Amino acid sequence: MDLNNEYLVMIICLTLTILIEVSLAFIFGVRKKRDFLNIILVNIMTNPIVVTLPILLYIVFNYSVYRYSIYILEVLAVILEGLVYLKTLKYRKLNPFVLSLILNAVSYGIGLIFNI
Amino acid sequence: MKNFIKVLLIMAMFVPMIAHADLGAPMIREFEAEVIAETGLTVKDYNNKTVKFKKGDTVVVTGSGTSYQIVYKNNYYDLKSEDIVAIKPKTQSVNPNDKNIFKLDKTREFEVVVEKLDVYAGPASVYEKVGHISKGEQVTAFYAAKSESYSDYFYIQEDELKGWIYIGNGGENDHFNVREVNATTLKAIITKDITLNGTLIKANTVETIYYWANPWITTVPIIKVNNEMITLDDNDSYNLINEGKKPGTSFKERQFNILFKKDTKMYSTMKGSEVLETIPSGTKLSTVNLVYELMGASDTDTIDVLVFFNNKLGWVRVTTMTSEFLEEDELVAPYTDIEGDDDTEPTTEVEEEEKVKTVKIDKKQMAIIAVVVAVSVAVLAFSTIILLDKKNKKTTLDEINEELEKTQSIKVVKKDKKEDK
Repeated sequence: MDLNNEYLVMIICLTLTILIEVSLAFIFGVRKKRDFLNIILVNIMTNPIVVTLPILLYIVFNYSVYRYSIYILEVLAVILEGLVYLKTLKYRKLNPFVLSLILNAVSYGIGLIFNI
Repeated sequence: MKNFIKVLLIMAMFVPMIAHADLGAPMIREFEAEVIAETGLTVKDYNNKTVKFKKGDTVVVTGSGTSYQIVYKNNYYDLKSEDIVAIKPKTQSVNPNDKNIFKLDKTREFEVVVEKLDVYAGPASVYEKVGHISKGEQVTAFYAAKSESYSDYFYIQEDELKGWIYIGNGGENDHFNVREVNATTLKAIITKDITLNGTLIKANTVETIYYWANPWITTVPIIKVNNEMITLDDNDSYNLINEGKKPGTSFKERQFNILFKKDTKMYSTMKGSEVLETIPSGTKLSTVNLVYELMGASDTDTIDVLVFFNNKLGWVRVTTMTSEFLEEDELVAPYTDIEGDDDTEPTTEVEEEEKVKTVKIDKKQMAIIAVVVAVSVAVLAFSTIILLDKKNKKTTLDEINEELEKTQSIKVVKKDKKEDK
């Protein structure tokens, strides 16, 4: 990745993540506008950090730290998003943590495919 | 159960995307052809099973490069080069509007490196030739057959000449017919004597490596040998030098500083022959070639690196016992200009050091700023979530209170009415 475009990459990643997760949430039966807004806000909260922090760690340390940090940050993001969903979402068909796991897993998976 | 099925359905949506990836060697598009030879056509498969077609029969043809096969009842039969004249494609030409033709996201510029490159009416050499391009001429490719990355036939258009060219695949007997005009280039040092295209390239020669996507999607190293572009198949035969542009994601190498924990001999070639110098213990040098990180290396793992010491360039064999790779921002002793291709301009050691230092600081600064921005955005988003949630709860509470009031007032009205009665 060209670091000169890091901000652009951050925006693109965030936009794609939001689009994917909102679409998935709709498929899973989320219908309230407030719930969609919370999903968007939660992604704005976690996604930029998950994208930018590993890059900093790669520059300061090395590639292996970068790789492991992504795994750790993704897990933390799932837990944090689950907590927020638990507190704020009206949607209750799925457990909030399961919902968070599915949304994050799919958006991460799609990101991997694009990177291939 | 329903949710589980939903998850499965979503995952199934992505299967076509993965299937489209066309894993495997590049194949030309399948096309239908008619057998035109009076005597028909006889073909054999890998197990020597024979199939005979008569004149007028329609066959399905596939293949890669300029080798073709007939597909018949899910089996592949080799079409010998002398039998190619026995068939004729049913469609005389293939234009970009046809199915399975891919428009390139970015046009590609090719320069012809062979004496004459034929242009065909379709993406296979069995189609009619519509013209040719001479050596040195440049053409622009707009479309690819099969898929953008898995194609060795590209559609070009130069003035009135439109058609398909075969770019080659850089193998020993199938050299590239073109070179990509804007290819990424890096310098590399050849690590052992190799023979390419009948020419001996000695160890420690510096060569320019060209990178461009070959039909197999990965970037491959290509080297110019006697004006022919040949793929460098042996990854052990070269080491990249000078941290420049990194093509694709296949390179995990970096330059490192090494601290020598023991006196270490420096050799003229990679596998050690003539000793040039002995590097004393405690010396810190940067690697000249890019080095793969030693991850979880054991005491016996060895790696050969190129270093610059006492104005000499040489190879040292290092292990985790004899040396340590240091993760530092600044390279200790970058190399001076290495003789080889005349593409690079010589720079002084100080300038090179300053350049490396400046680039690393800039990258680090930008990354820190990006993280700070990300954290600020996260805090803002979190605050918004909290505020909205409070507002939502308050609104709900107000609504509930309103309802309660209404209910109570209705009850009071009813009670009053009863009392009146």
